[in-house]
Amino acid sequence: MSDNTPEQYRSGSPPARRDGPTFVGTGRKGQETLADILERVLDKGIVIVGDIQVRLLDIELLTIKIRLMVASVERAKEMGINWWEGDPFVSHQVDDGPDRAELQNRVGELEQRLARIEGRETGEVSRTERRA
Amino acid sequence: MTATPLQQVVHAYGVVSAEFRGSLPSGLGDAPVEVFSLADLGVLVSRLDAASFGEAVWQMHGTDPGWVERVAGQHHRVLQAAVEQGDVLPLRLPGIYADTNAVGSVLAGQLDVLRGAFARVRGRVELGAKAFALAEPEQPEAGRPASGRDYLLGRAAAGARREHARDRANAAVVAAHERMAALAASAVTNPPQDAALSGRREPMLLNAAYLVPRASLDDVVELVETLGADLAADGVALEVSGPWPPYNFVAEADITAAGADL
Repeated sequence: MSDNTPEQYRSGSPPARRDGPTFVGTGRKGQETLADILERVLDKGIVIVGDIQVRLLDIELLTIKIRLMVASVERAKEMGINWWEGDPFVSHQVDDGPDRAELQNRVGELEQRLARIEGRETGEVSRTERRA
Repeated sequence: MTATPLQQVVHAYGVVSAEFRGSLPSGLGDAPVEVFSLADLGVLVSRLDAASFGEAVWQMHGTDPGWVERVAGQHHRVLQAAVEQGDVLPLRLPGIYADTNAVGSVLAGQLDVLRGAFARVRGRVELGAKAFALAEPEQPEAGRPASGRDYLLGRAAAGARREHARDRANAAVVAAHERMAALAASAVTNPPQDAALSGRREPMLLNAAYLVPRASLDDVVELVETLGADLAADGVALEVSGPWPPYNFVAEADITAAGADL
């Protein structure tokens, strides 16, 4: 997009021990990680649910999947969810992933399970403190 | 509207001020982005081929990792460019509408809410901060334990050391978060990202976002330098990202069908 800045000194590998913070594109151009982008684009931002025309409702599936991905591992385990292991979304091995039908089934199952859990716990799924 | 399939749909990225004149990169499907005017606000939109981005396509590809990743990246690219040239209120994905009239009528019904939300992010950007526990340095092995008792005592001591280090690291992270929040207009903490998603093995101790006045960015970066050095001494790596579009600071503004006077 715009210019490169010398402030991007992040390699993508786990940080070696160092004496200061790592700036990920603090400066004019971001070099954001995929996780950061997905977390924000799919889980934050204003939700506008107008029910006219093509506003999508069926996107719940996607939302649920993303919510689980941004949930903590502990929380997900409490919920009995461990399907992300080997999931193409998070492992990037699209070719080795399960086929779509299987994935759909798993998401469907998950959705039901989540609905049951949410019914019990009234919505305390993955967001701890949305506002501070 | 259900009878005839749409040829074209409109994707909405975010809300800017009516005076916004930034130059924006292409958006979804490399389509150009235009500013659709809505009273004193503007909505960033692209007109898209329904065959590529219509409802059916979302339903088919909405759980396809590669597709979603690409679309999310394109959506973000537009908002990122916008926040680098002005203020922007991000809309959540997906944001597909039948046409600009549909966008207009949904948003116009809640203009006050949008204005309020936009006013809150005006002149402000988001910074992200994550803290990771660094792997502890290997304790030098003090030779083979002389007895089972020595072995157990050694293990207990190592456990206590680890616990102490963890407490220190957590306390340091909380203190750092509070100092950053003090410079911010608003702050949120999100659940730690899944290791599978972040690709990071180290435990994530903090996943926070701060709404920072543009004028204070340098101060915050300076503070981060200091905090980062201090945290490193406690075995914590601090990573700061941004400036982002203020994705994390629009929650109060959610517009629902119930609220929207359609």
